[in-house]
Amino acid sequence: MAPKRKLETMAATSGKRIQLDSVKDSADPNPECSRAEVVSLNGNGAGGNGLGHSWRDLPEELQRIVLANFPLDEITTWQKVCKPWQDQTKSNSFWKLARQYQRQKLDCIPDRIFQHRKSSQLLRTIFARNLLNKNYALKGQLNWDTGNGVTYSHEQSQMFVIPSGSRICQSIKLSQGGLYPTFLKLVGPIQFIVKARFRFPVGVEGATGIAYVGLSQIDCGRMIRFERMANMSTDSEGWKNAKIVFETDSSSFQSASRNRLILHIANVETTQPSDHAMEVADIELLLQIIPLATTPGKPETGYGFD
Amino acid sequence: MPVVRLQSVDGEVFPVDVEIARMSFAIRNMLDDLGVQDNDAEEVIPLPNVTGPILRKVIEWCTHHKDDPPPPEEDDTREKRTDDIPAWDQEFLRVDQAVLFDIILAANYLDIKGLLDVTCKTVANMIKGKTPEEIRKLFNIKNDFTPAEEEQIRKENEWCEEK
Repeated sequence: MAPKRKLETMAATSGKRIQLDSVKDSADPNPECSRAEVVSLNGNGAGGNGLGHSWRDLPEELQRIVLANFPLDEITTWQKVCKPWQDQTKSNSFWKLARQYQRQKLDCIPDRIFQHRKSSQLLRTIFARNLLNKNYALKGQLNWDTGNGVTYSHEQSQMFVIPSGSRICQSIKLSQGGLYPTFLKLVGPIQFIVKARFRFPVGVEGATGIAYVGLSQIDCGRMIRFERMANMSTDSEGWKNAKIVFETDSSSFQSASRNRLILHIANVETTQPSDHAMEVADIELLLQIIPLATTPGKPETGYGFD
Repeated sequence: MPVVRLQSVDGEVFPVDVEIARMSFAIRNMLDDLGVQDNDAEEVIPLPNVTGPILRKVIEWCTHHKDDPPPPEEDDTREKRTDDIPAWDQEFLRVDQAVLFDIILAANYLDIKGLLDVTCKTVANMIKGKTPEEIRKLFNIKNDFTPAEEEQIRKENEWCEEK
């Protein structure tokens, strides 16, 4: 039988995964959020002793593990909770940890991204950025070209109106969104996904109309697939998604300054009443890496991840 | 089946099958390092960082999962993990947030990888669909961004800040 005293000592100093004592740090700049309370394994502290712990009681390393499990497609939201959370998304170690815990989500990211010295920057470009210059129209600060004198006067920051028969567009320089040719070559084939919310005011009897959103490309790589965006009728409401997919390769990305996408939003074919306006809100243009398994029709040149 | 006795910080003693106790790598290492044999049935292992109620939960989880395949090595990046939480675990972890964090701390202290994984995923699921303010309220986290920093975040979400 093992000596009892020795067992007690070992039990008190166990906890192989994380040496909790190592998180003691009096220089914590954000004590309210970032740092666990000083946790001891010697039984005097709070380590799992059932005293009703909260987020802040978790040692930093445990917080990091929990964050690595957080939904990556909501990273733009949860990184706004506090500075330490945002800082985590900017660290390479966070993304390596996230890859351990969220392989289903990150399997489509090539290894070379994770091995890159700026991997966190690259991955934030993929997961945490709306590529639109302005995802809403500010009064007096138009970022959308209308071509027909449409002006926006709505004070609501996330929503504006497109009159019947109107069309707006925005030219998006990929390099201004961080999508330099070198980066795009690194990630391989990508998707651009536009998400927006549209609404025709309902209840107008006899009114019909169609809205569409589209993407077109200028000098931004050889397109391999294009999905025209969702049409909608006047009585429908909800998110409409569309995708444009293009291949990136060294020959098609030579000039960062010229690579552009044009995003169109149009309210067309509205019958009666003729001023059947369309409301648009929450527009996002997001980059996504194409999972290899879902990539359609592999082209002859090959674009699989290596 | 040989048993070991696990003693919580509040003095409660739990007889546990050795094979179940060994799902904790911390306990496994203790037993191995000290040469405790399976027939040392009277051995008491003190766990000064885990209370009785939490230790009972941990043992319940280990007992349910005792026949699971061993977890992958941490550096086995090729291993496929599921993002799903099994139904039994979901029900098992339907507890107060404080208890959930206690289980996380206990799973970490006892080095039970599967339990740590599933509890972390449970916390992650709690934030889905919530706004930053709702998440702050949920976890009692202070917003430590200055107005200028919040404005910067808003800009970052529109355009690249890392050029």
